[in-house]
Amino acid sequence: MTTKEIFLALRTSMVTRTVLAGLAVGFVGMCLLGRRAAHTVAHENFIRFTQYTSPESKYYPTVSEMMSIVRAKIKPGQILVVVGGNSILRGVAQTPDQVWSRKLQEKLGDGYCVVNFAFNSSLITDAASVAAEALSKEFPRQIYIANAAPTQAPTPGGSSVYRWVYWDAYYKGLLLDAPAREKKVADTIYTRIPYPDGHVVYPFRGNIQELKLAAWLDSWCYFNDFWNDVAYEDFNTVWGNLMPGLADFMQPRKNWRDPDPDGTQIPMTVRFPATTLEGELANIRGNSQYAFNKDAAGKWEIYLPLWDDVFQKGIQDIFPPALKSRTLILLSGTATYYTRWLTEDERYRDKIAYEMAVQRWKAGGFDAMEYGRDFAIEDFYDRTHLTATGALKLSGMVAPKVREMAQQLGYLPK
Amino acid sequence: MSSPEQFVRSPLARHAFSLLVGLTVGVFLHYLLYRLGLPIQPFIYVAF
Repeated sequence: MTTKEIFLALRTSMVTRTVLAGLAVGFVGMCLLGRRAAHTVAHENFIRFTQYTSPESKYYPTVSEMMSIVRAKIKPGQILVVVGGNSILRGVAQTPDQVWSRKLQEKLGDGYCVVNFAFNSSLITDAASVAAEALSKEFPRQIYIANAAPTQAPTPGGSSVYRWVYWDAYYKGLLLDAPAREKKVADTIYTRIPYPDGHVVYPFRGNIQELKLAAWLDSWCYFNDFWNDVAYEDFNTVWGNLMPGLADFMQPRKNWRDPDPDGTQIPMTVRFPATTLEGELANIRGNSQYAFNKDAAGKWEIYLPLWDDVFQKGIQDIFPPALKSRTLILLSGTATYYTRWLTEDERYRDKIAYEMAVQRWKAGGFDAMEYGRDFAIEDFYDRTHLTATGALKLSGMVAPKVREMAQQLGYLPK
Repeated sequence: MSSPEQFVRSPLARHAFSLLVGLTVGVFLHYLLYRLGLPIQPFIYVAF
């Protein structure tokens, strides 16, 4: 038989109406299975998202998935502590046993449930904050922790890499009612910068239309939850960079070891290479150089347009009002290996920039604290990431602050 | 033109075969939506 004859024979062996009925049953059945998966993908013994359970390798955890992880971990009566922020709080250069959020859990004890949803390069407004908000009615006794650099106001609705979680929760109806935030998100996405030659750039728009369409479809069909469940538990179907070879990439993602190394075992010359010194110093100076100007007497004077118009307005309405007071912003410090290369004057400017950032976050209705200024060189893996010893110090600073917040928020008996 | 030969002749088997094909296409469409929803641009180029 020719190929054409085979196709014709197959075609005539089928009944069109039954095929269509099968298609409908198959598709609707998958949607229902997806809805079930949304409540069951719990990542047993979850510690943090790894490179293999994050967009770095084309795995996009859904908000329902994160909610399921919390439900699987939390015990009755515990206060929920959700950790967000970037690679520093994810615990890069800390093994799963060393990760700072695990130490925080140990220090806080059984009254608290610490869940680390930080991702590399993510912002205060990214995935973890959305998951915490979506759980705020179910677990109202909650504290959200995330980190930022001083003068850094996060993009409302999340960064371009992680904003799918916001839209995922938005279309699934899991966000709190916050019209001011919604307006801010829309205003940001459609920010337009006109150039003199007539062309216009939309720096935050990106693929937003496709992303919103996908999130809307997913709110009906739950394909992300179902196929994430398959990829994590059964077999992975998506290849990406960082994957362990062409043959092994189909292994379920739960089998892939958390690859973060013990940073203390990496030589200092690798962690702090001389070749990057100037670049890193430029990064550090960038934290404060536009935040203050010298006055006539040579003293640092606050540059109000940045703090009032950019920063203070930037952090306004990023969260629903009710969730601000339960948010702790950590201003991530810089390795003393680098700050010792700054002039005395620059070090002072850096110090007052952190102090001003703490003050401004608090004025915005959040709680805030800085860390790292008094850490030792070996507590840092590089300019910003912490080693196991730094992780211990950070958890030691944050635990009493969390207890204090829990008391102030009325989570604990008086 | 003579009618093409059928692989499956029994009516019940034809319905079962058709249902199986339909179910497979339904599952595939669901998977296709998942794959189409994944960003093409690698993380590193979006993040940095």
